[in-house]
Amino acid sequence: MKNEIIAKFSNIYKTYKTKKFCATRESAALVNFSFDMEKGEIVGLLGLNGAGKTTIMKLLAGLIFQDSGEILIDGIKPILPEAKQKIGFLPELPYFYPYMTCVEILTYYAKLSGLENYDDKIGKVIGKVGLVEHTSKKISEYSKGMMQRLGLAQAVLHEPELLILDEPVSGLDPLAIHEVRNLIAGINKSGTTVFLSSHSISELEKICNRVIILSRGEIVKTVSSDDWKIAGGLEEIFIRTVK
Amino acid sequence: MKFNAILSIKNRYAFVAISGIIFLATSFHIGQNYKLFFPPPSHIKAFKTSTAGDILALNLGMRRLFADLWFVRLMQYYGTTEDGVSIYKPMSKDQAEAYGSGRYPDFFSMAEHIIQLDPYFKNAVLYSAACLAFNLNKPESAIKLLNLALEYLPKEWKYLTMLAAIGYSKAENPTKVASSLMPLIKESDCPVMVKQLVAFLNKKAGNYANAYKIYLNIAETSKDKYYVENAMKELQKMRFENKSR
Amino acid sequence: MNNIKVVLTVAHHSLREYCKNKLFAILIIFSLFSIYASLLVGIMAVDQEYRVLTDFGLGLMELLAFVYIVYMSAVSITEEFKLKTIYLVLSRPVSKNAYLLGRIISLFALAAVILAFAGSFQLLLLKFRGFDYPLLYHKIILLMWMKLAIICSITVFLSFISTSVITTVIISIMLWTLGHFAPETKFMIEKTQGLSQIFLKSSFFLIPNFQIYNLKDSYDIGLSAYDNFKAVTYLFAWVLATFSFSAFIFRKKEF
Repeated sequence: MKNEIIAKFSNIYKTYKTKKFCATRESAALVNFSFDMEKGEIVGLLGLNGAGKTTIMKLLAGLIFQDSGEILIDGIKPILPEAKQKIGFLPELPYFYPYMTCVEILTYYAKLSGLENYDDKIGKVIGKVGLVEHTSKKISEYSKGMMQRLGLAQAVLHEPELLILDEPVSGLDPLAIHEVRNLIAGINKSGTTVFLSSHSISELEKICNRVIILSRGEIVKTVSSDDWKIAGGLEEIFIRTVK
Repeated sequence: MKFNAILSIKNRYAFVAISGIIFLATSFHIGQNYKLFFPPPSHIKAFKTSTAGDILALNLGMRRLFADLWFVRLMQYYGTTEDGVSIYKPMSKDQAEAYGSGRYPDFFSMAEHIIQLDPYFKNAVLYSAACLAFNLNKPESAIKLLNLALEYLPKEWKYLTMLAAIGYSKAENPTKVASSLMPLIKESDCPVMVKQLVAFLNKKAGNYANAYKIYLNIAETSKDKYYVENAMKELQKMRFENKSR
Repeated sequence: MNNIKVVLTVAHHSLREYCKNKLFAILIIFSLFSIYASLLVGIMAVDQEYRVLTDFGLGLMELLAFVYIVYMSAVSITEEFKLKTIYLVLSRPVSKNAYLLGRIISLFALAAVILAFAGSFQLLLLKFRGFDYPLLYHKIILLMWMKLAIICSITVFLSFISTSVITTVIISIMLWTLGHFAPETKFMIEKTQGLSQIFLKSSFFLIPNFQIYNLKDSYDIGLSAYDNFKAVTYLFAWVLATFSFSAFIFRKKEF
């Protein structure tokens, strides 16, 4: 499986424009971002606030558009439904319709993902993320941790080839973080490529094969697990790189 | 169906342009062929504080509803004697006898306002014209009102019948007035006030059988307590005087 | 995935969302209460009770449906942007056009649900008072629905270009009232000249003419087959145009 490219970024530039009364303020989010992701990898994105992590995630999910350059998911532009069929996306702080139960919402997403006979899959995925005891509750009654689990469930429901996770452990308690980590590792074992961003260096260190260090929209370093093992930890490398 | 294919980058400008052209062509065609069937705002005379209501009636497309409201007001106005006694409350003998006559200075303006809002409100036209012509002794106002309504329904036989009856009334021929109004009361939606008027005119002209039938019809079908009680009283009187046949 | 399935899935989900809204329950209770209260005005109209009861019911029904439909059209999509629930929809194989169409169809369905509900209640009330099925009632309701469908498509389009929900709602209310003012505008066109005539003419053609759907005001006159054709064509033209303009803007929208 290795060496086959699942996601490719070529010279991506992205600028956000804020319109004011008479002027437009521009701020560069990504500058000449190029990167390839191989199938089966777990790749992490590490950077300070505003480094461009969420922008990359959203570009890959087809929610925003680059100004120039090309992004391909398995050779297909992310805006196209064929590419979206291959991805599972968990945004930072996912928000769900509060009046629904988790089964109802997963049914909705399953239908949108084009799944047939989704009942079994929903049952399995609910079991996998540990929400079995909460199926009858409305989402408005869910805790932050439960929401994150549900977010993961919806992202993996249709068995995507590439899982995009924006801050998947943000705001979770240590036990929940441990469970989510195990879950991601399990999903990756079944052949799914995982691309995740996090503020937590230790999390990325524990789970990733490779980590991209971003600063002000540019890749400043790409580090493999071997590199940080030799250097005495990812934190050391990150601080040295971004300082 | 591939919506993305329809709106692909190549085609989306064309799609917007085509739908824009279809929209403009349809809008233009419908606009050009649109016929006015209501009196324009400049023809609506505000009555006292009616302006706000009239604006709402036009802007919300509720002319009919506001005309209904004004008709209810007109009936309340006419249902109260000029010294403030309602026909639905006990009246003295003099008040009862005087009911229906009087000046009612706002009657015509109110009736005209109803017709300007909804010129197809036949019952309001007939009710108002009959009141003006036969109760309030203002046949010229009644004719004016009927002519206004005829502008929108020029072939309406009920209006023409009422006009003819007013003509006979001016010629002081009560028998003709009574007989000319007879076709009107055969209509199921004829205002009860017109029915009572025709019954009264028939009685006055000596056509007791007709008068009896009409009073009986009022007593059986009307929902207006005042007219029902009056009809019952008349029926009783006619039975007593043996004038029911 | 088949786009039709996406459209229907989004439409079904959205309709459920609108019907589960607390405002919807309040609106339904209020509309039933108002229609019931119209009995009082009907009784005051004595022999005209049937007409007054029918007209009041229809007027209240349309007004309340309009209020909820315009509000829902203004917030339904923008709320998804604001709450970011759109992320989990558009990161799936769902085209923006299919999503948009699904949302619009659900709003059309919502208008139908409200009118069917309130209409059935009014008919029951009329039956209770011993009156027959009103003349052209089903046609009045159908045309009322068409009118609501047009204003809902326009409001969805406005929600993409305006800066706030309040602005969208205010513009929609203005268009609703101006749309009913169309015959008066046409009359004024004939009376004016020059620039003011050009301005009035353009507004007459570019503002929806809701009077052609206002059978509740003119059911004594009725509608010809050509009037029916015009109503359907006009609805199609407005919905198509507002959908294509909305889709054009939505396509480039980022979240």
